[in-house]
Amino acid sequence: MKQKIIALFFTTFFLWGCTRDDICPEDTQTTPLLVIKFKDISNPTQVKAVTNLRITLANTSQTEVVPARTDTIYKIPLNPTATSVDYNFTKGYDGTAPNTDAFNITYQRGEDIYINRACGFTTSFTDIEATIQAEGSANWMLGKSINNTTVENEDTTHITIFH
Amino acid sequence: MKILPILLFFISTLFATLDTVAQESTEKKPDTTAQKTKYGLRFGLDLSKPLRSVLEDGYKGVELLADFRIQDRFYLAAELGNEEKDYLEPNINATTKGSYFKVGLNYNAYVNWVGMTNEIFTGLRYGFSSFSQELFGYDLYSTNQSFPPTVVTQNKEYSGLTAHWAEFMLGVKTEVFTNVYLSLNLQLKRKISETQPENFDNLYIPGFNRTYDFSQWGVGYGYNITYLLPLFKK
Repeated sequence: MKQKIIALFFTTFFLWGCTRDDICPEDTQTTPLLVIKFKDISNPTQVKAVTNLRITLANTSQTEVVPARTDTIYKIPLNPTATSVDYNFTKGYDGTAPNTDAFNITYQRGEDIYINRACGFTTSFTDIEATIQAEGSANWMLGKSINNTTVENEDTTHITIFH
Repeated sequence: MKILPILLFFISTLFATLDTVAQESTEKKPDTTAQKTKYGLRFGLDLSKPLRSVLEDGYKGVELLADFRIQDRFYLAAELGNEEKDYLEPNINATTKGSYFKVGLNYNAYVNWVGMTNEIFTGLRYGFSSFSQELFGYDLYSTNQSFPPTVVTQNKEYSGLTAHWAEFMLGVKTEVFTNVYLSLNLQLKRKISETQPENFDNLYIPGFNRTYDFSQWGVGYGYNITYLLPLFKK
């Protein structure tokens, strides 16, 4: 009997040790990613998937941010310590004729906001602006529009790119 | 660390209370050998806090306490303390410091043998803390690892914070030498209200101990040594 009570006490204390406070839940909105949606240039209301799009940082090591996949919506991170990020968008990656367009995003960092003990702080981005580097006929990204200049969550599209 | 002996102690005291209750109901004859017991002011300190200050990095604390017997079984009790606690986690780096006091009543449920003054008691307290927090720095939480973590260092102080809570206490007290008592207690606390710092949270409240994001409850313990200054006998 005594042992059972002791065991019960220990289990209780052990379970008390693992509270929700120690792990940041995955569905918590932490530092948001920038949401880009691709649409058809000849029919701007229609979404259009990009074949095998791979997104990398335009740095020397070409850090892969999004591995090649065919989709209409992509999420990319912004660097909170900078005010500008250069990306390379490579369409048809691993295919016969990959086409890379350079894409630049400039922004300001918003206020850092406290979430809770486990997740700590998050931030937001404001004054989003985007530039597709002009390459004449070599561009596959043909136009863009900013839908939201503020990035606070990932629920809405921030930038639409037409191709 | 010393949780096992503590638990054993408590479990056995629980059984001890059952025994005494059983005895009480059968012992209703008038007591012809009424024994006078000591009344007075008992004061001392919590030994666990200075000990923890030595053993644990990032903790400093002290607590003074006193009680006064007002009736056969009731004691007025109060605690006064000061604590400083660091919170050094990968994403938040902060410290809390401040003072607190607790006032309330203890009820002794233990029926002593003649000449002994031990206690198994329950207590109720109202607790109040005035404290400040300092946030030294934090990491911006990001699910994406493409960029190195953003480390923000700053020195922001949140002062003038207060908290109120109610506390339930369960403990035992033994007279180890004449008029010297050792006491052990467990505390269950329920926050009533607190000042919320702007864009931050009270990670620790002196006297209340650590807080939980999704709960108003807190726990604590005390290991006290007190000296009884006998004033009269009744």
